[in-house]
Amino acid sequence: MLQLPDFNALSAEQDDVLDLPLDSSVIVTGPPGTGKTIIAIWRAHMMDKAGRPTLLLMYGKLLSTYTGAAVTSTGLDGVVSTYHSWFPRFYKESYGKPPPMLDRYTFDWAACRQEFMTSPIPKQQRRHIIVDEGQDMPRDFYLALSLVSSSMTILADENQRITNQQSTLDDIRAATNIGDMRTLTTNYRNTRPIAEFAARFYTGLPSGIPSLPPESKAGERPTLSAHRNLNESIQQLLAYERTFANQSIGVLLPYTKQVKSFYNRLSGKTKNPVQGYLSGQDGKAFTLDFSRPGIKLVTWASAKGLEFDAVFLPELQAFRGDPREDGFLMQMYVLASRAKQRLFLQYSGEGVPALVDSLPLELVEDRR
Amino acid sequence: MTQTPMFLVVDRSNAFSWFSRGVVVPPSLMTKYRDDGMSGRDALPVVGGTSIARMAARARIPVALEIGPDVGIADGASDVGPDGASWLRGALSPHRISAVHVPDEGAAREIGARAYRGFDAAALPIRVSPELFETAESPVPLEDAAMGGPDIVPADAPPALDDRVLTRREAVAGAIQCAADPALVDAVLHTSSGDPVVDLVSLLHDRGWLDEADERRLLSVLLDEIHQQTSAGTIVPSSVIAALRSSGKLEGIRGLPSALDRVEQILRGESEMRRFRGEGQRATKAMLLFLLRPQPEEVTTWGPEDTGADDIVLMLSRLLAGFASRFGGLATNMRAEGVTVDAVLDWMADGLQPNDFAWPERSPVEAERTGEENAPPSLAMQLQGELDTGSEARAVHVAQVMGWTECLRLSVVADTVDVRTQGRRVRAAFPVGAEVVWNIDAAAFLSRLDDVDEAAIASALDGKKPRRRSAGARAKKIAAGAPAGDTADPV
Repeated sequence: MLQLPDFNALSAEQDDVLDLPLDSSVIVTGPPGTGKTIIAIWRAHMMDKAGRPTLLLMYGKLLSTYTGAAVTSTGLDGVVSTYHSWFPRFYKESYGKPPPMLDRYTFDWAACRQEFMTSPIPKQQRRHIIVDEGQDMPRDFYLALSLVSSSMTILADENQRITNQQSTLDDIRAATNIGDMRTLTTNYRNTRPIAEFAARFYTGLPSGIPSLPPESKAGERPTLSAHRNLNESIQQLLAYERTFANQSIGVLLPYTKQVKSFYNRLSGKTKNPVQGYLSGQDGKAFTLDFSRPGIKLVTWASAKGLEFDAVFLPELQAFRGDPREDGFLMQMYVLASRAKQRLFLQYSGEGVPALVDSLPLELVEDRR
Repeated sequence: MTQTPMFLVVDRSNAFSWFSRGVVVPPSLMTKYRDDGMSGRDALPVVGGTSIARMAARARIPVALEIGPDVGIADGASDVGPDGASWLRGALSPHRISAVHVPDEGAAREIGARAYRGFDAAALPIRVSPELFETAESPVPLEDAAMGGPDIVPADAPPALDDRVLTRREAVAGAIQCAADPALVDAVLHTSSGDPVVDLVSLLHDRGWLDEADERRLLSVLLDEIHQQTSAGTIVPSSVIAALRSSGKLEGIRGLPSALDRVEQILRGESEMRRFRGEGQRATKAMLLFLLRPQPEEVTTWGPEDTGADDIVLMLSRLLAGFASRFGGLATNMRAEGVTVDAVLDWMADGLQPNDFAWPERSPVEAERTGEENAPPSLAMQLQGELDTGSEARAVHVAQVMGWTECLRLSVVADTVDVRTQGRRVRAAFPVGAEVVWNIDAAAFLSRLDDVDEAAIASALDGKKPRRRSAGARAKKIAAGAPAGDTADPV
């Protein structure tokens, strides 16, 4: 759950952003884990506290759910939305008709802009709009956004763009005319030992990884365990969950069928109900409620952008790829960096998986 | 004492740092400081009203903190005067700041929008005072206005600030705030052997919270280790255990090595924590509860039902969490307000010596004599305060002990429920692992509190024996997932 920041724990660069005047527009960039989303929420909280109409826009549903839970805890209900659900509603309220579309999923931004310029949204109806994961929005969205907002805070990391339809920082700057850009560089999410471990797997651009947190952000080292069988791994999971019943515990699994298997083995035995998430493409979707503690089962592919107090990576022997490949290494970086406080790596059965041999064992507590 | 208004003119960020920490300290003792020309100094830059503008020009977002009229300058320290400036050594409590002056309404709005874990800036005594920030006509350099570098500090002054007592007082202040025991607070404020941590342990022993000399030793070493780790950063539970194992001061304590083994297994997640049974040191149990939930707002969620801990163990665990977070780490809703916390903050600030500031002392005991509104909080007030902040565990416990069933709400969370009707009765059966949650009906509970004598509650809480569960109740607990055998933890 979200907590307001401890002022003395904020870094200088976080102070820099949070100190910005409420009526200013700014672009905030930085690699994953630097606290962009939490900055977005805190800024929304400040705006709301000052009585300024505010909107916090996310891109994906799961992130929206995750962030929505955090925002709710600060009393900002109703302020968070995805841009897919907000924009049509906003357009219809303003102009009495749905927004023009190019196809079923794509807004006709040029036509929308034309409408905004022909019939401008009154200033008193405009809001400060905060856009998280801004690189996921198309450039034309920003051209339209500048015409309907009173000011903007845009948080983006162009290193995380997946398609050319998404925006670079230059695209965003040009479209919004925002001159002020701040950069977050320090890892805000992980403890130092977890960040050091995760960094060992990173193979991307230097600009894509945060700098290590300070030594003062100490914590337990990641733990490596070997179990005789899956049941032993399950038992350790249960013991942890029952002891740390106030924590959010991410159990990240390579394959979909394992999510279902773990769900069946854990359900009914934990202090908090077990939750499982499968992406929509698999045809069956659960909803993760991040406002509640407990175990959340997520596939490796769906873990990006999430964070948990503790992360378990069980059944490592089931991984079938090549642990030396860049793709796998980056995957391990993403998975390990989901853990805020504790990280547990586990395998079961006979022998030692090749994946485990590739781990930086000097950075883990080896409990085998 | 001088009556000339005195001001601290700093960047807004540095003022926030003081309010967050709960003490105004010289820049050299601050972990982060936004440069406003005063960085690294061992004293506080105090000015009279006419010097504010010159000081403010150095700050990115200037604020002028007006020191309250009840604060003076101790004998031997430099006076300030309305046109003057001086470096003053020591520390000051934020509650001695009578106003936060800002140059315009916009600055006031910006401050009011900000809230942090330990304080809400909107609650500060903000004053819009443009006249204080108008540029002085005479461009007198600060150096000529008795402000400067180290030379302003008397030659015979200590060469460097020693903040060890201050930081230990901050830790003890956090501990006693979190434990929320007014009598303990008063005892701490009126005991001084030089080391506030030593005093705290002695007081806990005198109050019966610690049974034996071994527990005193354990708690002393534990508090010292916590203080050492938190002075460097975040606490690491396994490091705490390792330090206790290797401490020569704990040799010969019976049962300690096996208790530490057990704690370590639980902390690693290799073994599940179970309810405590009667034996074992309170300090060890409290340490486990604290290390499992180190944050003050988390440790208060432990209750007797889920831990088997008595009230003293729970209080000790809160004390440890507050000690580790120090006063500055406490959330706003745990800092309380009033004469008692003001006295704690003054006591904290007085830990930095030499102190050029002087203020009248007022103990909580004295406050009690001056009127009901200044009295230390009663049990009812404590419970109401906890309910206001969403903490129900203690209220639930009181309602259960007192048998106030109409104040209690039972919820069961499970994936399935089997509901059967037997005549006019309904039976609901839940699967193994169902989550049982007790909540309090705050209005009904507070109404009950009003009608009962606190001594009766205290007597029930202290003198009770564990309520004997009926065979039916025990069977229900087993059905809900507890093993049929011994469920107690040997810690």
